[in-house]
Amino acid sequence: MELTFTQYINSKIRQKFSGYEHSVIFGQNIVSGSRISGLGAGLDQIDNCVALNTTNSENSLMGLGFGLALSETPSLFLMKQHDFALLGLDQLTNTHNVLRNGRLMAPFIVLMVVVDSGFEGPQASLSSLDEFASLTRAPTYFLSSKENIDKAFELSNEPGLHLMALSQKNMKSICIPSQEVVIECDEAIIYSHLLNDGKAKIAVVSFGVDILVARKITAELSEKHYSVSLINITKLTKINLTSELFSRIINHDKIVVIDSGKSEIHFSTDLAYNLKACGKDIDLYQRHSSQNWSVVTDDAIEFDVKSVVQKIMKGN
Amino acid sequence: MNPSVESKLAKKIKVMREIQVSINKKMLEGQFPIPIHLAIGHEAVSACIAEVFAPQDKLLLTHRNIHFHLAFGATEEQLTNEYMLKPSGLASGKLGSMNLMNPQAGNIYTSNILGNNLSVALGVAFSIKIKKQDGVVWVITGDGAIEEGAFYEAVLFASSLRLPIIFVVENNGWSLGTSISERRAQIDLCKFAGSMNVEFQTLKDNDINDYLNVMSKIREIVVATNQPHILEIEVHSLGGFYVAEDQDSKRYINYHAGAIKTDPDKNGIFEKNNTDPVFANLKIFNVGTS
Repeated sequence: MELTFTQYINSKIRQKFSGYEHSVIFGQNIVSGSRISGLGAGLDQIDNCVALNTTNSENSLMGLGFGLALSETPSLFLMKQHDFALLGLDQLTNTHNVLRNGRLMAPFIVLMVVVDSGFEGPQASLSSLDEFASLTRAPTYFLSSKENIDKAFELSNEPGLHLMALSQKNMKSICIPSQEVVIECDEAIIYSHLLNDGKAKIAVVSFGVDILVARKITAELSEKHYSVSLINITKLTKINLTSELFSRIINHDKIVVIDSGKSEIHFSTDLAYNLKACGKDIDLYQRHSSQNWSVVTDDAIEFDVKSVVQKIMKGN
Repeated sequence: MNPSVESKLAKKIKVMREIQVSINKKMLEGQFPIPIHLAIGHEAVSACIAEVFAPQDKLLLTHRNIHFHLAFGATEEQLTNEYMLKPSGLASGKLGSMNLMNPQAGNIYTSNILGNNLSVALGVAFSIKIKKQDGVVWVITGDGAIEEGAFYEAVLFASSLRLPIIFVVENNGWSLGTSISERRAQIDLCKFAGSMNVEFQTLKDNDINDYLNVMSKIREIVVATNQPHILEIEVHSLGGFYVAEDQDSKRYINYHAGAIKTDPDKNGIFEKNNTDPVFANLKIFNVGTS
């Protein structure tokens, strides 16, 4: 049976929290009302897990998760909108900074929906995971594919704070296993169409909760018989120059970095800089319409797939 | 109260004062590279909480925490070494003063951000409740932190979930160098607590019999009913000083984030009234109070 992203993530939550002796899942409207468009469905049926509709108090709710983790009780804060997490930044930064060195005895996961479907207004469309990852120094995962979701839930078994984000646009999309998974690194899943035909090897590295553009670019290049790898960032972090992921990216002749986030600072810039310093041929695409985000917009990603592909073809 | 407990607590308060005065001296000598907030005048609060504290209870502190660490068993040497960031310090020289924790004594979190520890206390209390551990969370806050929205959120959440938590408000009337009347309207915590269906008690004048009775009863009620409480305790942070602002005026400030700089014999580290817990409990030693 095909599952949507919402259903698949819901099943992963149920699976994960069925395994604990005591645990708590909390958030606004998670086991009544909209259940966050279904993300919260059935969470009140998990054995030994308290599923809690909470007050509207994000700062306290972030602290609640830290207090539970200090007390060896795993928890999940399901948050309808990423921008609500701004109200909890004191906890995410200051509290986490005191407790992140081994004092948290259980996982505390904050799962946020990035409202990227457009027309929500200037305050509801935050998509700034780079800043959150930087401020909190916590593992920050993009739930942008089935493999990314599996990896994020596996890595979040570790005690401590974990941030997860998914695209609202994707929630009702079918979450199908990819046919082409090749390698799992700590920070990314690599999907490849590598052909031994002598053509340049191209890597499309995707940052953000939405990998649709990167997938389309990869598909077009494949149709044109390029050897292309789609490298989907799972965990947002500085990519170490000595890491397996960096060595795999650098093994390509041409690298296209696509970032669908709206941050002013980008981990993708850091990667592109390091690749360039190693002499690689890089095209970096980041969103640049921040002027438009102060009013209601369709929030469409600005990169045009055809022009990205054409630029690659010209260069090769 | 058992006279031996009374005597033990009075002596403990006196020793805590002596250690703080000793640490103040070291601060004046510039021995510590970090900021330290003394709590001279707060000793009865921490000594009595430590007395009624059960092994399964948890304690969450603020930046002004030295009196709690002393009451919960830290030695002068452990604190001094911690403040010098030495490996032999209470937290191996890693936390300094404002975030100093002592998990072995039940103090699992300390924050220097006003109101920050209140939210964390909710999670600790919720865990105690779902695991049916019969413990109580003592979260310390002050008259400055109750101005933060975090206080409102935390009390409402604790009441909504009936959490085993005691919010201890050490009201010394000062936030940084600003008194309550200089910065805000009065907050009637009794009415505030009542509006959220939370129990409220108040204490003042450092009578350790009174303090122990009230604290023990509150703890019993919280364990039995999961009914959160707010306990407001008036404290007088000794060591106030005058700041000369121009030729003709001086402004009194009763707040210190650092050493008490005045002459030790005239500096207000001891006061002859019941706002000073050492003085208030001298009668236990059968000594005169003149």
